[in-house]
Amino acid sequence: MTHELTWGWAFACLLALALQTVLMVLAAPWFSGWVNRLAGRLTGEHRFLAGGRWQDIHHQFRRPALRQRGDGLSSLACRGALVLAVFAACMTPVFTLVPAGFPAPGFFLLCSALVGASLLLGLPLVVQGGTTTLAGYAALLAESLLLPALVPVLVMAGGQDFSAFLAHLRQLSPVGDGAPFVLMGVALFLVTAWKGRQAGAELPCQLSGADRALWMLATDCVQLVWITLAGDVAWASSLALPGESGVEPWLAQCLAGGAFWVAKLAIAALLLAGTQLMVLTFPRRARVRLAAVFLLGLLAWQVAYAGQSGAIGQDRTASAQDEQDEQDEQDEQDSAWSDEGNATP
Amino acid sequence: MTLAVILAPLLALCVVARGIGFLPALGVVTAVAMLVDAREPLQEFGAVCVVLFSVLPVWFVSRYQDDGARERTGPMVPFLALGLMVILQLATGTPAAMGEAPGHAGAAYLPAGLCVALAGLVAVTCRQAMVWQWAGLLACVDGVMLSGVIENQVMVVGVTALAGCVVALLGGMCVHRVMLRVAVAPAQDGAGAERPSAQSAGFELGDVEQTGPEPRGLGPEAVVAPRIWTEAEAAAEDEEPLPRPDKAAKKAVPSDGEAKADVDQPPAGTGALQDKRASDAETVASDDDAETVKQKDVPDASHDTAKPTETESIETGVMKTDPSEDALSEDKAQDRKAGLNPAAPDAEASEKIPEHTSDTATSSAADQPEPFGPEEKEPEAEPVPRTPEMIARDVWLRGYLTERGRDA
Repeated sequence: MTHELTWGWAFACLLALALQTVLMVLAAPWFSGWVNRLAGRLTGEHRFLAGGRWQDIHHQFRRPALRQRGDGLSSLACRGALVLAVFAACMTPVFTLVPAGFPAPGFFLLCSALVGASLLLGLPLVVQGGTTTLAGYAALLAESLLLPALVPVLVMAGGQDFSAFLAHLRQLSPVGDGAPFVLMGVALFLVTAWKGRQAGAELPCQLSGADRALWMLATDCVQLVWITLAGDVAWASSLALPGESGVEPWLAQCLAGGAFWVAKLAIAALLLAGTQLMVLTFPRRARVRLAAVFLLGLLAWQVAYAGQSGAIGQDRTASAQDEQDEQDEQDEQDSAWSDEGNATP
Repeated sequence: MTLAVILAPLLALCVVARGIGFLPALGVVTAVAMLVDAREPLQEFGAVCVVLFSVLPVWFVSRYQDDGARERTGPMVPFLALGLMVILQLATGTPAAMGEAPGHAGAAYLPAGLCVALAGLVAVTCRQAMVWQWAGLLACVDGVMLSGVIENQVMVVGVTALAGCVVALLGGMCVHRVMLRVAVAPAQDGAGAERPSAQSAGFELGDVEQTGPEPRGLGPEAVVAPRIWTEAEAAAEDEEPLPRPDKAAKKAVPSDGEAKADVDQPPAGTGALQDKRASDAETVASDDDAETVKQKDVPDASHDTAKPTETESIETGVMKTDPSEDALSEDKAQDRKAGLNPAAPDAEASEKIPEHTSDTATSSAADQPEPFGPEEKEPEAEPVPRTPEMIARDVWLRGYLTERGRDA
């Protein structure tokens, strides 16, 4: 990426980002429906088709809302959650990265947006009252503890742009040197696993009408963004990088990246459906999820950077010693010069 | 650092979390992790050993019934293993530790073999099911062998291979001793067609004997109580004969006598029933003697009619012999030996049999149509052919279920 960002590339990147966002938002309910169907197949239940989730959302959009106490706040939270989820989807690379110089967010901002969306999604459960209040508080607690659990992963990504981080990972093979980042991807993937109150069933939301549709769509978007993030980190080589060569190779890489994204989603759907086979109570599921995310992220960080940090530490100490030696020599020289100066008069 | 090296501890965690099902995947990934760097005889030997130790036990266990019902440990056990892995990595990945190993300086490093072994030890320590602990031991063997192969330690690989053989053999013997075999019903074209469906669908001692001994190391003679076994054998002997024509002709004569006696004397048998039952327990010991005496006493008619009754209800075999009957038959035997009444065997049979039939008629309803001769008896005896294997299976299953209930 030695070349400078041209207007053409910037416009192409804007188009690609818009396309990625629309693709992600449209595919989110499909993915959720697929996971639901696969989990039903694994557990021997009969569930809706993959498109049933979209039909449900569409149906809820057209239904009149049943106004209840605290509905204004719930509606606001749902809209905010959807906005945050779409914002995160816009920042997440699906099939292409952005070139250097293009404004790109950091990984911390991305994770914060997703955790904020999850918190907002838990808010209607608390506001509505009734039987779901306790589960809503538990969900809020679990989501607020997610960001501390993600600290090792955030440390791995560092303070650089997420796109630059992925462009660095892109040079590493996931089978070889990039293997620790596969572990990091697994940690990110486990963020979406073991959610909901029961195996496979999401928290019951008492919203109605368009608010409920927005709530469902935002939930699916958050899930798909986490999955896509995990896939990007685990195998960044499948993403296209604009500016490396001409437009046509970039477009071909984008198509291949889209195909690889679908393949990653298929694998993730299988794994997610497999995690739903574990029947645990909700608090225990939350604990398992947080512990898995934190410990796997810690292990990945150790594996990826322990050797390098040791080498860097050794280099730093070596350079510090060199500097000190040089300074000692200089002091000796200065003292010699001063001695000579003192001696001459 | 390869992906296989990263995946091996993850799969070991899956073994800790879910059981022996992930062991073949762990073995294959460990073998790949060994073979990726170099393909020398040491690596190849280690890979073959690891695959064998991981695949063969799972195949062996798959022939037995699942025994995971007693597991009470929670889902947090894999996190203990994961935390210990982090601590291990912290201890071995520090610059001081890395400086000692010249090959690892500056590169990503994970002591995958030690992590796998650690996960196996956690499974052995924290899990309660026997198969789970066996899987943990095998994962431990895999991990140590991976570590030895990566570090090129021939002695470690050799000793681990030996230990793996011992662990696999001992674990297999324990599994074979403790666990129950999966029901195997081989479809034999000739013999399978003859058996009734209820028998061929279930667990058969005969099938087990062909492939190996009884699951708990006991033969059918030891499992089944000796008295029941002898009764079952007697029942099997009595079931098989289709009546020969001359026997059938002989039977036709006493059947009339039986019918008459049945009409004449049913109330006498029912009236004496209470006293007879009260003294049943005392006559169990002399049961066999009474049978032989009866056979001597009634050579042709009563033998043929009384035996199918026993085949139909073996549990009521104790009820059939009564003290009065015994005394009567003994008296008659003495009379016969003395030659007092040699010319009237048919009359004696007609005297003896009604008591017998009335007794069995009250004891079991299935014996009701017994006195109507062999032509009516045969179609009823066919649908319930209780072979010794079936009885032995029932007794064994009852004992097994009570044992499981006691465990629960």
